[in-house]
Amino acid sequence: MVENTGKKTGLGRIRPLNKPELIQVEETREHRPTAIISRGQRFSVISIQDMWEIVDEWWRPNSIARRYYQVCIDNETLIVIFRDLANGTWYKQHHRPLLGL
Amino acid sequence: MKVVCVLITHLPVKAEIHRNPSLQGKPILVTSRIKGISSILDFSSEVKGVSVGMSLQEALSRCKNATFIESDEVYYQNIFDNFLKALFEKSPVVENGKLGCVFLDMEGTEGIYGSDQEIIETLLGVVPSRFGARLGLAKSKYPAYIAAVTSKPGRTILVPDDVASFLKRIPIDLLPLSWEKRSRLHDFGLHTMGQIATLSIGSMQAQFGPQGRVAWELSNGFDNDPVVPSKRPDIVTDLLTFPVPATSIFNIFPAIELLLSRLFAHPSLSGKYVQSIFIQSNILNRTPWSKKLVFKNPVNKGKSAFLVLKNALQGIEIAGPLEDIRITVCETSGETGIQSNLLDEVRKQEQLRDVMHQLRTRLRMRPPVYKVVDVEPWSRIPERRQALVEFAP
Repeated sequence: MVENTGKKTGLGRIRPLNKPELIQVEETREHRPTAIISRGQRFSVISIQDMWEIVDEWWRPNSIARRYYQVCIDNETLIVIFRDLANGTWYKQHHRPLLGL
Repeated sequence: MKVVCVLITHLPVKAEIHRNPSLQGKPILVTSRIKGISSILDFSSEVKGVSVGMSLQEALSRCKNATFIESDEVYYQNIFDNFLKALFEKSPVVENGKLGCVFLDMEGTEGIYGSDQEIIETLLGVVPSRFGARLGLAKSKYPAYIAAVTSKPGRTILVPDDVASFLKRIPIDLLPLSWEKRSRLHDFGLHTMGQIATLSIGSMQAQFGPQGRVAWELSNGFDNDPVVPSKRPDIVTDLLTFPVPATSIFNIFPAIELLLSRLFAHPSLSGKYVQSIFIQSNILNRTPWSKKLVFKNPVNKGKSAFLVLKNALQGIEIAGPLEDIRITVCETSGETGIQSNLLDEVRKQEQLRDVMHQLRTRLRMRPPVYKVVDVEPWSRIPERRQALVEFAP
């Protein structure tokens, strides 16, 4: 029988990439973002450029339901944020893959 | 076949005298350094008891008054290439032998030159008399070479049709054999080619193997070795003289840049890539400075060449003020002359592995270097698409 070496398997060495970053968002009654507070700084949302929803893994207890917004903030940069429709929290996330595309 | 051998003996010494005429008539020893050991590369006729390959210490003990000069092989080759270039104008088939030795196939050139005498005079005229070229004319290469070796500077020996009788008295030391084989021939009492010619080919081959066969054939005047045309040397050169001698290598960079831009605009370099260049400079009251630079990847632009040169010359110390600077393009290749790696990926992986190993040693931990890998690139959930894994080349 092969002895257990106690060594971690390869999976332990995988680090997630492009994890959503928790942010605070000031929103309207319709849950549209008006300002973003990220890393202690407040940015006003000038315009919403795009919006889309992802609903996936609905068969799991923690299903995924997000509403994404591509917004233009006051320093003239475009960022992608989403609202977790399950609990109402907001996150910032790069929507496109970081490399290759 | 009508083969002419043009031989310039003791080319390093003659080149040094050409560079510094005050050395004329003095005992000169040109030394070369291989793996830190200095040995004799060439010596002048005034030096006695010294041979090529002898260690510097031994030569010093035998010839205390000699002037020792460290060899400048690039300079010798440059001088030789100039002769070679001129010889290419005289015959369509020119074979570049070792330094100082050229074979020309002059068959069919009678219509141009007329007699053999005209050929000889033309070829002798190519090499300046101070270099004392010796010529040998025969029907094949080896007899032509022997004729050139045995002739006097500025003279020619015509090998008669009976080649074997011409070679009869020539010592076997001129045969292209290893030192051991020549020693064994001497041990057998065979000192001249005439003695070898009288033996049977079988006995020579039995004793000395393939080299014995070659020795027997050459001693009997059989030589079917053709004159293999060499590539014509591409020599493009340009010179810039400083109005005031330049004292630092940084002062000459603008001059180098200008020279390179002029050289690369030369029509003969059009569509070609330069593999190596030779920089030469006269230093006030000192021995001239020279350096050959070989480009890792051939270049075809003056700017690219300048960047490489600038890096290569950064740490160089010049012995004195530079009076001028000359840049010569030594080797060129076609447009496809850029060398690419056969196993490019394998080499990159090896380099990366080395870098990782060095990082690990330096940091004393596993280097925090990761690689992006696709996990579920089709996923609609962005964080599921890719992940970072530890980089292990």
